[in-house]
Amino acid sequence: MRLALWWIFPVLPVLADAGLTTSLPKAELAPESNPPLQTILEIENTARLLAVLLHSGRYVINENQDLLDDPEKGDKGFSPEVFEQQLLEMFRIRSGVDLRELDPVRLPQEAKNLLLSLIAVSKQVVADAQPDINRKGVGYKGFIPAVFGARVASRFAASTGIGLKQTSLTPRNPSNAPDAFETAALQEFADPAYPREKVISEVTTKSRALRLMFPLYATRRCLVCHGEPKGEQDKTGYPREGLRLGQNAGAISVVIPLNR
Amino acid sequence: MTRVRSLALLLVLGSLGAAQSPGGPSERPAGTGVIVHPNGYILTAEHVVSNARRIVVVTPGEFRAPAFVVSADPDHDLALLKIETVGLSEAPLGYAGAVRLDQEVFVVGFPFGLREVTISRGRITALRAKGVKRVFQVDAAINPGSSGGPVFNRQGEVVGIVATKFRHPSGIVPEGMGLAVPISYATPLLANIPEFDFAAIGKRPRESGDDTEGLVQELARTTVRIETLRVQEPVPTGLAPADPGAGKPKAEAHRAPGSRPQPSLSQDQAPGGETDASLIVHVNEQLRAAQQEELGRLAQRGISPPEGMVVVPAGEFSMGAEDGLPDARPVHRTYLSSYWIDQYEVTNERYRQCVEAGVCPPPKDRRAFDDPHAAQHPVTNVTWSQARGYCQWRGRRLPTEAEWEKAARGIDGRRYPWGNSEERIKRVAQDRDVRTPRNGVAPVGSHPETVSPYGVFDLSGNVWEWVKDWYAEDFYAIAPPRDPQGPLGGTFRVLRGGDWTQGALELRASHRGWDEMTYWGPTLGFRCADDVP
Repeated sequence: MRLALWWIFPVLPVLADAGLTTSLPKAELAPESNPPLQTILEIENTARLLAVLLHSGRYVINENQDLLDDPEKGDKGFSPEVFEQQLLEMFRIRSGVDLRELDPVRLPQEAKNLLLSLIAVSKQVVADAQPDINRKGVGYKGFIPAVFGARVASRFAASTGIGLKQTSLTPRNPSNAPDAFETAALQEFADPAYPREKVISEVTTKSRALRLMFPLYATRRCLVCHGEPKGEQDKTGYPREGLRLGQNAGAISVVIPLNR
Repeated sequence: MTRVRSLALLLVLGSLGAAQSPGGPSERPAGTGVIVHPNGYILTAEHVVSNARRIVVVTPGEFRAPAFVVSADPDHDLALLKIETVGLSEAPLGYAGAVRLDQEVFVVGFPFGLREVTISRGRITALRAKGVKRVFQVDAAINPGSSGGPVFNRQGEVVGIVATKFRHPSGIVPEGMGLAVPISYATPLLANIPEFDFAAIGKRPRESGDDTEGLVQELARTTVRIETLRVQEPVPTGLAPADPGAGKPKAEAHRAPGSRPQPSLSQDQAPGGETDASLIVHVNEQLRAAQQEELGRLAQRGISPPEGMVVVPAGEFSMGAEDGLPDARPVHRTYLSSYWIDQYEVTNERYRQCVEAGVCPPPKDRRAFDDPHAAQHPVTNVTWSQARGYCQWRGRRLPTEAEWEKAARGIDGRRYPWGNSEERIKRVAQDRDVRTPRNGVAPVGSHPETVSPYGVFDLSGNVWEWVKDWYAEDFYAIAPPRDPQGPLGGTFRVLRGGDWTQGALELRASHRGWDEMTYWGPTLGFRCADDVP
């Protein structure tokens, strides 16, 4: 790395001529291969939209949780198509982008392709879960937002090389444990003074990837499993976290390599 | 030789500062700035000049000029200063969007307040965003005195302003690492300069030769030193303020941003039991008289109140609270035009009429709705859209967040519709077992002692009420002073009033609840409002 390539050059402004006997060494070739800030902002926006879309998918599953866990009903009617419609609507409300329009405004083609591919993967996960979902006589079937999110994330990574991860400072699933960057961002989010829904992102010459953390907040529905009383088991058998309404409840982590 | 002279000068300044009483009238080195317009406009970092009582700019010709702040943007840590000096040469501005990772940059500044300008060369090693801030990370040596100084690209264009305020997410600022705000964030500030040529940004022709000497001279010629005389920070004495009522909001204001305030609920009789109560009675009388007057005026115009609604006359009221959660701050004066609001929450019986008319979808959970004994209970388990749909069906609308708050607390900034006492909450809590299947939800108007000054029932307690506005945590800080309609968009809708399972904090008339607009629950209802024609 070129990290050591800095030096200090003192000049006297009043006696500029006298102070300028040394000339700057010839600059190395500008790293034109790197994307400019403008492009990085676009990639960051794509990362944020992917996080919003994954979050919307989790939300739709959550909305339908009572239906999915109904032991009386066989066919739940929660087909991939029904799911897709709800997902697109939720994404429109959340992001202001309507993917049902033929030409969603203001989005680079790359972003559109990735969003559509995340929708396809999400639908596939719901399609594959149909036998479980439609099983009669069983209540809780283990198809919950977190499980949905993890399945979508691993398939999406396999097809696009983009990392998606649901993480928190106290993850139930050890594979969701945060790394150093994620931990630092989660600690920022945990501060109630941190502005709501504002992401934390970075691109460095070392990582050569855009990393983004999108904060999630505990809503009333989340609290059914993650709220009070702390420590008491929820329907999945995990102890409740004792979260309070509006508290930060983790984040969605996105990693987009620059040279994909 | 020169270096020695600077050091000597620094020592003199240092001893002067030490000899003087706190707040003594001498400027201290504060940072660096860059000339962006020959008429004396200088760009720097906001934290360099914040809280400064006096600002002095030392030009490259060692001329000391008093400066004033034209415009400041603390969110992005940028400020625009003006001095009355001629013969300045300005630095051309670059296009920040073209800055690339690993690109070579030059940072110019006066580290540690030295009189010698220093040019450090480095590379852009990272790009970071946190909250509303976005910065370049530069691996050049950046010291405190360099704050506010320019970051130049190879063409000699300013692409960033050095900021040290941005905390690295890891909490550690590695050695030899600096952070700079992209110059594009300065656009709103530059718009204050008459006839600023925005079209020239990023248009400087690329230098053909390797005239680095020329470049270095030029960079030094456009960079200035900034000295400030600071307002003395108040020294915490550790003594409790004499008047707890007056001292409290102040203490809150100085609280570190990280710590969430714990509203002191024991202070609820702070304004003083009996006097407070009689004052409330007095204000209530005034408000009812104003309401009657408004009704009289409307009657003259041939307008009578819509069925089940009361009028809230036009005027200002005190919105928000300093001692609640941060999203209810600051207390601000808000003017609302005259409006109607439902005296009671919409009941199951009322909502059923809309369902039977084929307009409203039934509540998401029908148990309470279909209970024949609950006809006069507020309708619950409805989403925000269902609430809005019902009000539209009745030719009405949802109240705005401001309308809800004014109806609940009148104009005097009281804590609850009935005043400031929490006794009534305790009484209701003892009155019935709130953990019953109904979560304390009672027929509308069951608690006449909680009526608001305008005669509206169950604003605090019974059920949370959907209002029209999107939720934004910072909206009170930026709300327009007349008829605010809430943020233009958002993820959550506002819920107000709380239910009886909540604590005294959530039941306050200033408390702002929120949730997903598609959420519904056994303690979520609504009421309607309408404009007075």
